[in-house]
Amino acid sequence: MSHAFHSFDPQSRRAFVERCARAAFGLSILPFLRGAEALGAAAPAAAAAVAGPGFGSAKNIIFLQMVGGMSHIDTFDPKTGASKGPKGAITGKAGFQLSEFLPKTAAVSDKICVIRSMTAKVGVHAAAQYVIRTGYEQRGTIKHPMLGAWAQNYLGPSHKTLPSSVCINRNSDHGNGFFPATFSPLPIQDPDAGLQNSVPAAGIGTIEKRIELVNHLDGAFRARYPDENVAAYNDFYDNTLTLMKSADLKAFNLASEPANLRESYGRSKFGQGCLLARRLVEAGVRFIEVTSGGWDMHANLEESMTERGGDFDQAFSALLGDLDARGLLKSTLVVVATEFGRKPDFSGGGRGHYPKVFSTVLAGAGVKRGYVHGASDDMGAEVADKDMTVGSFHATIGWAAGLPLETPVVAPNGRPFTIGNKAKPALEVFA
Amino acid sequence: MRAAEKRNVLIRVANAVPSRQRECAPPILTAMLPIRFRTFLTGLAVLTLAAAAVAGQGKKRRLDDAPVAPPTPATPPAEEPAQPAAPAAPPSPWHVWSDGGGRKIEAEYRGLDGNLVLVRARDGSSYRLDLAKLVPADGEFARLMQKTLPPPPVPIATAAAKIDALVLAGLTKAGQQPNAPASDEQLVRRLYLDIVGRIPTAAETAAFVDSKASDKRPKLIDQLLTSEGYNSQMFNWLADMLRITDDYGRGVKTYVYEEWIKDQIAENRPWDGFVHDLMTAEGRLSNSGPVGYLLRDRNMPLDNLSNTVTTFLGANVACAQCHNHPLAPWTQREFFELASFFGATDATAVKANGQAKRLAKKTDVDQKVLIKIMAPNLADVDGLHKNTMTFPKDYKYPDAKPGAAVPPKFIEWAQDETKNTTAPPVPQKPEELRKAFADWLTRKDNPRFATAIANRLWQRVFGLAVQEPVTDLDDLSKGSNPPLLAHLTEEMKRVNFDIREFQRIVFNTQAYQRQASITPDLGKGPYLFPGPLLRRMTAEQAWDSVLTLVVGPELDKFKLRRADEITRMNIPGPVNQESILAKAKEIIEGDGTTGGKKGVSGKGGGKKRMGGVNAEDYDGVPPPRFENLTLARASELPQPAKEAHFLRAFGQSDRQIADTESREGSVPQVLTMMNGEIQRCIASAQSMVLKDAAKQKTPELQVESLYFSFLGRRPTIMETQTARRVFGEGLKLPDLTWVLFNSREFIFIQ
Repeated sequence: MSHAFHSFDPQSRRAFVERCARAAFGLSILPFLRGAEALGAAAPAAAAAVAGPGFGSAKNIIFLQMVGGMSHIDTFDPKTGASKGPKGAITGKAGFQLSEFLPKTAAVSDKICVIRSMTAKVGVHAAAQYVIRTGYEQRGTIKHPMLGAWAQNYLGPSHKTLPSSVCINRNSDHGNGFFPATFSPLPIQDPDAGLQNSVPAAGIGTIEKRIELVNHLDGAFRARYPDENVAAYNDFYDNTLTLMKSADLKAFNLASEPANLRESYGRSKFGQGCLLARRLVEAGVRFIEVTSGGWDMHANLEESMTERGGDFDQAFSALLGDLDARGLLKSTLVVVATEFGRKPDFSGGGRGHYPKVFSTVLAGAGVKRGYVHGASDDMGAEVADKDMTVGSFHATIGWAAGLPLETPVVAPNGRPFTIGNKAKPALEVFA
Repeated sequence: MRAAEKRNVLIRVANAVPSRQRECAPPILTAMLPIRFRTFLTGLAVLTLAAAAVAGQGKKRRLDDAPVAPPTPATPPAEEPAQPAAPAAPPSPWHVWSDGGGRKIEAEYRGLDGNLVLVRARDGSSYRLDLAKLVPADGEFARLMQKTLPPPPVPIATAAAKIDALVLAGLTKAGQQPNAPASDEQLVRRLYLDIVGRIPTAAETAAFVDSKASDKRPKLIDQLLTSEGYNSQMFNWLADMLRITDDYGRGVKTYVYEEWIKDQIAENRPWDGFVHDLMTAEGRLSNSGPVGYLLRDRNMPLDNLSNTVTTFLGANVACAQCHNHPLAPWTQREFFELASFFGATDATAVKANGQAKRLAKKTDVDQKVLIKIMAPNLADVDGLHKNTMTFPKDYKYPDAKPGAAVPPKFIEWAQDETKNTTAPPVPQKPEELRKAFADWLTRKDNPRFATAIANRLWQRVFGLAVQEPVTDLDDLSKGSNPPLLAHLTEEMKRVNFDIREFQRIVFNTQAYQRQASITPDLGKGPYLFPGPLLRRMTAEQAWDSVLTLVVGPELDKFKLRRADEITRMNIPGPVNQESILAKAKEIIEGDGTTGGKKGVSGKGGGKKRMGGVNAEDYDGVPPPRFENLTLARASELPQPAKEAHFLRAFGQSDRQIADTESREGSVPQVLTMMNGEIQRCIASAQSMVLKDAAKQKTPELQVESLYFSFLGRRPTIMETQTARRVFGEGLKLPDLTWVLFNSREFIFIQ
């Protein structure tokens, strides 16, 4: 699959999608698919062979997910014509325009790379959220992994006791895909509360004795039912015990942060989630997903953008500033993603779902600073330049993380998979 | 001709054929009869029939368990006292059936099973005649009868056996074997969890396991299905499907909707009526329950339709909202034509905050009170006089103009091989469109309505649906066992969408009562149900089970009742500034006299403790508390629970997207199990399970008591010896509760 296909007319493109989707999933005769590699950490040496600008520049990834479909026109791709919307545009520090809803982000736009030419096909929330999270379309027979799980597979765990992936403000929802259950992100539902119940009242020694007893007494049941879900729980118990004994647990506790810094991120769940993400980067967690909900602005867009957009604006700019001040930005990739954009047609005070064009943002690591990649047309209705699929977006992030994009992984069902479903990374975004 | 008639009896009819009048009683009334009485009636009918058959003239026939001769006219038919008013007299079921070769039989139509018509002759003998061998007029007559007459009820054992035969056929075809039957211990725990959503107490387990009654299984099933716990469990199941949340945002609370749903479940409202109400409701959230469904997606009618069609029809049509679906047969035009049935419906919630603020400034009335009044009154569903549905402005297909009005049209399933149902007419008046949609959606001939709910109910108790995913039933040949699903569909129709009765049949099958299988690799082939799947408890089952350990089965009496907080805000008549202010005055004065206990204004509001509920929110006796936990069942707690709550850590959905409850593990979940409040609660002084164990005289009996309570079985010798050993090393009973609570055996359902 190459970018050439995207220049076909809609009918051929659709026929192509149908053919691909109907064919044995993932097993088409694509040229670079050499021998499949078994599950497990691939040799990092293989990755070094394909080095290039930005490759491996991201030791950590913070993936900010705007759930509901963030309107591109009212954020990173403002327009002046009929599709304008309630607010106008302001010129950011880097010289390109952002929506008036994001003044603080505009002030640090010299740190970011905006991608205005994202395009996708799915305009239904659950299905589209799955795509932006995994780079694949949802299927009934297999679950696909998130980027954090991919990274853990190729690079191994990022820390001895802390999880390699964390997700904040949401549950883990099978983030491990077809990788072992322990690759799924540790969910923190409320960043203010952090990691609850991590200290046993009875002391760790008693806990260990009890766990030993559990394993002993439970043995017969586990032998009778060699079930993958039962086995997953065994692994979770092991990992939890390890984590409980870890000194790095304090990374989850926001109370150690100075109050004024907490204020600067904004006291929203998203704001505090971003702050927690920064702490976790420092502690050695490789992949942190932070969710912000409420972007499905069919109505009351102006009010919602003032609120949600405001929370985002404050948190995102604070996060970039904080990471930069600590020298972490050059090794941390901050991603702003959403499942689709919103319609150019601003009617009834809101916009409908619109996957054809939307915006995402990359910042930090080896990504160009103060840069715009791709463009949409005057209305924000079609991609005008350098269209990027979600698969390619994932491949680009995988490239930044130093993952071997062309080395497929064979899932337990025998099929090979790659990050972004064989899409190519957009290397132009790297400096 | 009777002497010379040949019988085309292919299968012995095992149904008991009761009197005509009993057939006419709708299942909902028979369901209200105590189950035991109904079984007795069937038994009585059977005995009567047996006597009649032996005494009657007619051909020699082998007497099966339930012979088919009707009661003689002298025997008064056993029936319930209350009968619905008889509808207009249906056509007579008597008919002369002829085969091509000149043979005839005069017999009464009794039922139609595929191509076999069940008839009963004047002498009482019953036959199954193959329509293929009869004249065409007979086929027409049979089909007319099927439409106009209700079929005779089928005994539970027969219905269950039919399902078993189909499951077995599926297994045999694939060269597979069914699992061995589950043991009593496994079954009782599974039945309690699946029907009433909690583990059985030690006493309940013992009562079942020790019973020597041969009918103890069907009896337990019936007892559990008619108990309060069933209502609680079904509410949790529906809450995930319908995305039930307490709060629609901006002060709009849905307690009236939630309690309406609970009432429907308690009354065993048939599924078709329930869904019909959701589609056609009108009114406000302050005075009408079912409007909560359309208002769930207020201001987003297309998303709402998408959810409706996916949930209730399993039609994979959501993508068609924006474009022709690449892999399914649905077009964008078809989506809009269906959505057009809601084009004359207005389901909006006007924001109360801004208006309340302005009104508060103007009149000096407390803004909080105004919001509490305005929010539910301004969230309403009502009809418009015009159909406003238009094709979207960016509609790109040549079959319609962008922005043009959309004529409403029902979708048809082209995938189906036989399309023998015709769509109903579309009403001209816009006001009638929504009802027409609701009628079409819920009628028996809708090609998918019965299938979708039957499939979901099967999934609920087997761990997998017959056709996965439940949201895509476009092509019924893709399921793991299409004849089974087709039969389940017919059963759902036969019981007139009584979902409790449907489940009753499923629980009574051998298929359900077999040992559980481990999670299959669906990539290697479909799962054909050699048994139910080994499943982790749902979040609600886990929570409710813990409560059973701590509080005991009394916990069903704690009922959340918050709807009256909302209904007292309802403004009779039109909502305008005067009526709002009048209501505000009434509320403020009312709070003054009651001392503001449930008050809204000022101090009486009541501090919401962590968990979001007060003691006053409960009917009668409030549930006990432990630290920050309110010990009430999941269905009687805030919907959904707060993020940090055990329920959410265990996978209760956030109710933003349908069907997203999770049974996965996670580190925070395990931390909760090991170190959280819930674990301290089980080991606390007030915990019933610990008190019961401590009462026992010897350590062996104490261990046995804990095992019965947690795992529903006796400990093995090894387990008892191990426990004794660790007690010697300093561990105590509370440690053992920790161990059992944190075992896999506890949270998985065998």
